[in-house]
Amino acid sequence: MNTERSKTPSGRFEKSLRTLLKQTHSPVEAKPEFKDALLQRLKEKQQVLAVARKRRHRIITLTSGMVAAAAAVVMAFTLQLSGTTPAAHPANTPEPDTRVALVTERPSEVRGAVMIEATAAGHIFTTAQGQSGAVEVQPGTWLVMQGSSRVSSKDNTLEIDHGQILVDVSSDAAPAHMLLAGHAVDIPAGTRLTVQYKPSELYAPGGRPAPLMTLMAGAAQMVHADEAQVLSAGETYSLYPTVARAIRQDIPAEEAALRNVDRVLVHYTGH
Amino acid sequence: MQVISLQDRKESAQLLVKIAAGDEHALEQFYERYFSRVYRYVYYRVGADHQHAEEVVNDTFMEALDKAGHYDPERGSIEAWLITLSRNRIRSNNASMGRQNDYERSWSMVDGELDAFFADLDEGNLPEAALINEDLARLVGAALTGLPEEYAKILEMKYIRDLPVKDIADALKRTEKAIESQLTRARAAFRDVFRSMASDVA
Repeated sequence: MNTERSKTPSGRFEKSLRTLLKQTHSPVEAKPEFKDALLQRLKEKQQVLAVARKRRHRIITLTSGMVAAAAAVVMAFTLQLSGTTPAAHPANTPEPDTRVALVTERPSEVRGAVMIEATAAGHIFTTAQGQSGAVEVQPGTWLVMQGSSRVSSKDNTLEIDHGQILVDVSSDAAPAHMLLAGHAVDIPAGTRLTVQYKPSELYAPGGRPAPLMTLMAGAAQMVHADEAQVLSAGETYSLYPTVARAIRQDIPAEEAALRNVDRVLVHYTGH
Repeated sequence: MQVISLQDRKESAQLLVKIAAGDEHALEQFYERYFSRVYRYVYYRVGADHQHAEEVVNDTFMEALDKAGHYDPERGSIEAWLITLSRNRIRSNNASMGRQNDYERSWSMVDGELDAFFADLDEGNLPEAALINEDLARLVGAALTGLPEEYAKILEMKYIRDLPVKDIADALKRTEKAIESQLTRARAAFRDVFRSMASDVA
């Protein structure tokens, strides 16, 4: 800086600024392992969200129980299982994602049930009445869907006429994550909860039913914007797609429980 | 100041549309383009703490992914949008943890007499020894990262790396006159940001 300029107000400020920046500057970089890990987490989340959005056109329903079959509204529940070869994959579906769960199916000892075992880590995507969901699974995760069911080998879907899902994260397992009706639910170890659809009074505006989630044990958490909502054991909540929070219902847990289902379980094992 | 035109924003917004549709390559591009900027911005505002910065940056990008389909280019650049998301995260984290605003603490450590500090700044009287101060370094870092990126970059090139204007012009493919003008604006912007941080505290 020339002598004349340094005498001007702007010149004096510039001199100070140079001193200030020189003396105080130190480069800041994030740890490479953090940067890489965050990108990986973002990619995984991106896949779950993108597939869930694409599945909204699938209309499926889920029955609420076995007891009053005549009075209950029968709904079919479809699981979209990915991991097929590209040739077997239906058109207009995303490319097979190796991170999505591969499953095998076997007869279950529970009457009228089919047992499905995940053989790879990933997600099982679900849709019901136009609402999308996803359940994260690990190798060894298995679920039993009770009721009449059939597997379509053509597009690798499992259709069930009656049934519910119980999610059981054992105390030594990794936390699970579920995307249901547009809500992200974190399920810590030691938590059991059920998900079912119930007709009539719990229909959201527009006639779309809201899944009912009952916490049998433990606690789950949903995060909306900056707020975390803790869902407590013994309570039943409706997850309306158009409402940010889970709405607690005054339904006794026993009524919402799987009392008429011998065993329906999603058991998380492994790390 | 380099204006990010609405057209530029709309083109950038297409990146978010692709991300919302599941385009992994678009996500990688977005991440590479904005990660460092957001990280540095957050770092200086959470007490120069990497662990805290990582939490906020993680939450910011997760939230950005959730809201990728809702970004509106009419309301501002993606950079501004991300900065706003991170600022809200910092604020809510501070509130929930009972943390004091980092500026308040740092200013109280630097100098109780803010007017005197600015007088020294304006008069070119900053004693070098007084500048070896972590809190001041954080405030300067926070001010720099609070500037539009092109301003922070040009100040760094000129005053930290001591590059002549000609070299800066060559590197940025602009004329020397344009660089001189931008330096003037960048210096003024720095002063304004620095002062506004002080007035947030006062």
